[in-house]
Amino acid sequence: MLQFDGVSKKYNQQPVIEISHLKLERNIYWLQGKNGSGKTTFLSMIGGLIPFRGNISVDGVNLHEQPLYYRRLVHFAEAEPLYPEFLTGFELINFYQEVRKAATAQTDMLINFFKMHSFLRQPTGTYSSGMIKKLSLLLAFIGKPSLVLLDEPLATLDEASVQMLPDLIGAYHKEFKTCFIFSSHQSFNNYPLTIHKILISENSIQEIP
Amino acid sequence: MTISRSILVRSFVKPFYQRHAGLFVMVFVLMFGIVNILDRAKFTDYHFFLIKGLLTNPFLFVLVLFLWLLYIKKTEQFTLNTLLSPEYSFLHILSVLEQKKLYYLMTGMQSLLLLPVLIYAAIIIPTGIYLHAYTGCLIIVIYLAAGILISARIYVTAILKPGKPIRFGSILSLNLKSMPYWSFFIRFIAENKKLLFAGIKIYSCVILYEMIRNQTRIVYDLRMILIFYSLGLLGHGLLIYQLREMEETRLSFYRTIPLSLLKRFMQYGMLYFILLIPEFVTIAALTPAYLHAGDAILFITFSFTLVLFLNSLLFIQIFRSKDYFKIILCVFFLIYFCVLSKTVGWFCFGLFLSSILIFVIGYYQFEKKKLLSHQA
Repeated sequence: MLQFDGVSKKYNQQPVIEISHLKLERNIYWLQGKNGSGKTTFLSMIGGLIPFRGNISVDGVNLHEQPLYYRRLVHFAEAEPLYPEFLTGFELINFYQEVRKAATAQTDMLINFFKMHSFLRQPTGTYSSGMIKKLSLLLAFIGKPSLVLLDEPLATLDEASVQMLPDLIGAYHKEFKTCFIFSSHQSFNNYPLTIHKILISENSIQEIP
Repeated sequence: MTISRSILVRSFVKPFYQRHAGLFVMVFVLMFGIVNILDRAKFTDYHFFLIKGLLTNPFLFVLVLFLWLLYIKKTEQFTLNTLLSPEYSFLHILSVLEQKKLYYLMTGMQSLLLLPVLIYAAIIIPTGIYLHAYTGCLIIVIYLAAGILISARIYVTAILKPGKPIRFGSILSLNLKSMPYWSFFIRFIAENKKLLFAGIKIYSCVILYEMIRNQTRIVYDLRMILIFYSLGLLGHGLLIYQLREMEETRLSFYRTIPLSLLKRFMQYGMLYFILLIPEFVTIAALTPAYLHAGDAILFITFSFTLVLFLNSLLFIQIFRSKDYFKIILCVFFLIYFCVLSKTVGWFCFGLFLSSILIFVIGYYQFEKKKLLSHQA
C-alpha cells in the first residue's frame, strides 16, 4: 500500500531519515519515537510537504512521478496547524470540500462528530489551539483518502474528542479501507482498534512486530 | 465636552492618530510637500487642478472614493479592535445609554476619525461648486455621510451586542461557497495590508497617469515612464514577500491539496492579474489618446510578467528580506538596460518563461529554511 524505496532526507548534510526499502500494508499505524527522532519529518515527506531523495508511493502512485494523483490519495493533519486568521472554519471546510469533491453529507457528519457548529462561522483567529486542532482533523477527514497522516492528533484536544477520534479512525478504516499513520505521545492502547506500531529511531523506520 | 465624549476621544481618536502618525506625515508630504517641490507649481494651482481632475475624470474620482473607503475601513477596524481589547471592555457601559444618544456619540467620534478626509472634502466642495461640478460634490457629500453613519451603526452594534460577530466590519468577508485559492491572498491584503497595497497602487497609477498624459504626437518617449513605473512594480515585491511568508506559515496545507502545477501556477496568475487591475485600468484609460495600443499591451505584459517573476523567485526559497531586495535591485538594473536597448518585449518573454520554469522546478522542491533548525 505504502512503499518506500531509497528514501533519504538530510538537514545540513546530516541524515535524518534513511529508508532503503519499506512496505506498509493498509493498516492503522502508530508512529513512535523520541522527540527529535524525525516523526514530523517522516510524515511531512509522505504528505509531500517537503522534498526528499528516493521514492514514496501509495497504491502504486509515485509522489514524484504523479504528484497530483498522489495528493488525491493522501491527507495530512499537521501537529500545530495554522490558518489565516480572517478565514472562518466554514470557509476552509467549503474549500476542502470543493477541491476534494466531497459530499455535503460527509462534511455535515464530520461537523456534528467534532461538535463544531457553534464556532465555525467565526474567523479562525478567534479559535483556541484545541479548536484549530479539531478543525485541522476535520479537514483531514474530508473525502475518501487512501492514507491519512495525523501528526500528534490528540495534542490539545479535549477529553471528549480524545475518546471519539479513535472511533472515527476505525470507521474510516472499515468503510473506506483507509490506512492511517499517526504519531502520538499519548497511548492508543486502550482503544478498540487493531494498531500496528512503527518505530523511528537512529534515522531508520521499522515495524514493531 | 461631556465626559462620554471626552472618554471616546481619548480612547479612540487620540490613539488612532498617534498610531498612524507616520502614515499621516507620509500622506501630508506626498500631497503638500514633494508634489510642490517636484512640479515647482504654485501650491494652490496644483491642488486646484488636482481637484478639477478628480471631479472631471471618472477614473480618478472612483479611485479617490475607493481610497477613502479603505481609510474608513481602517478606522472601523481600529475602533472595533480597541473595543475588543480587555483594557477597554469598560466602554461597554455605554450600552446603558439611550440608543439614539449612543448613535449620536459614535457619529461624532467617527467624524473626528475621518477629519483629514472631511477637511479635504471641505476644500473639494467649494471648488466643485465654482467649477459647476454639482454631481461630483453631491456624491462626495452623500458618500462621506453614509460612511460616517454606517460606521457609527457598526460601533453601536458592537457595544450593544458584544460578542456578536460583525461581518460588515471587514472588507471582502464573503462567505462564498466556492472560494478559489487566490482569494485567500486578496483577503489577506484586504485585512492586513491595505495601506501598503494602497501606497503601491497610488504610486504606480499616479506615475502612469501623470507621465503618460505628458506624451504628445511630437514628443512620444516611453523610456523614462517605463523606468519610473518599474519602481512601482518592483515595489510589489514588498507585498509579494509578505504574501509568500503568510502562505508558507498559514497556507502550508495547500501543498497537500491535489492540484496540478498548472492549476497552482494559474492561481498566482489570477491573483496578480487582479492585483494589477488598477494599473491596467489606468493604462486602458490613457489608450489610445496618449498611449499607442501596442505600447499599452507592452505595459500590461511588462507589469504582469514582472510581478509573476517576483513571486516565482520566492519558490526558490524565502530569501532573507535584504537578499530579496538586492535581487529586486538587480532586476531593476536589468530593466534599465532593456529599456535603453529597446528589448523590453524580449525581457517580458524571458520573465514569463523564467517564472514558469522556476515555479515548475521549485514548487515541490521548496522547503522553508527555518526547518533546518527544527528537524522534527
